[in-house]
Amino acid sequence: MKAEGHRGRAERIERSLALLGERDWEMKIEAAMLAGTHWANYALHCRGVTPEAEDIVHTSMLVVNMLRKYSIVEGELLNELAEIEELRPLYVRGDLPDGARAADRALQLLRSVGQRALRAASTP
Amino acid sequence: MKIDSHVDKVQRLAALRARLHPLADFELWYWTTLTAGTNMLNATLHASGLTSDDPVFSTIPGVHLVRQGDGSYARELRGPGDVSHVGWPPIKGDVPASVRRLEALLHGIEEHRDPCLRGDRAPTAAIVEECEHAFAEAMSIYQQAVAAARSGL
Repeated sequence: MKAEGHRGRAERIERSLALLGERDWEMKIEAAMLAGTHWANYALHCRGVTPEAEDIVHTSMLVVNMLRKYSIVEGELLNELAEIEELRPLYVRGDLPDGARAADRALQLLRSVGQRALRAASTP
Repeated sequence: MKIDSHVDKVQRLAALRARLHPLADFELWYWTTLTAGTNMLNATLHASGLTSDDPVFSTIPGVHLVRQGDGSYARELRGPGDVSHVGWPPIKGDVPASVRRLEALLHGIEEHRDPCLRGDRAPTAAIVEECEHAFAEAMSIYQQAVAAARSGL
């Protein structure tokens, strides 16, 4: 997908997030994962590290050497995305208490991921 | 995960689904549909005695997050429990036709995942309608399975 396509999807998901409430922690975490992954692809495409035909889906599904390569330029962003991903089995597929707090953390991480991606796009 | 927890998630996700616009909010509407569907499947599989309802959480096939003695969670190799997606892992053995039908409905919804969420296919009213029909029938199968289990049938 083209870089601008990723950005458009991420921004649309972020707009939809406004409709979610306190009891929707699963989808807040999933939205952070979906939008964060689009932001990651946007950043990697803008930096020329990955071509449009090479999108990541999950950091946990990446071949180790590819994750190392991408992390050279966007290590912090990918660490934040990995932290969002680690919330999923516990609070989306699991039923641990404090889901709302976990969702707040996921959205905090998403904001940081988005900011990093926008900075990547403006880096010459 | 326990059936009651799946039921709680299905109820809240179905309520959220109704607040999202199927096209304007397609990504979250679709993912909410998919997540609710996976919880319906897991509850139905537990209710049918096909998978364990142990309070452990699915990751990739064969690996679950399990509570440790110190309260933390760690990945462990486990037998059939919750699936993370329909068919991932597949359910083997003598499976009732209604459960196979539920799986087929969820596979139908899953077919739109990569093209519409990770590819360039634009969601359409026809895709929404297809997902709506599959979701409604899946809900009916799930509700019957859980009701039967709770009544001891």
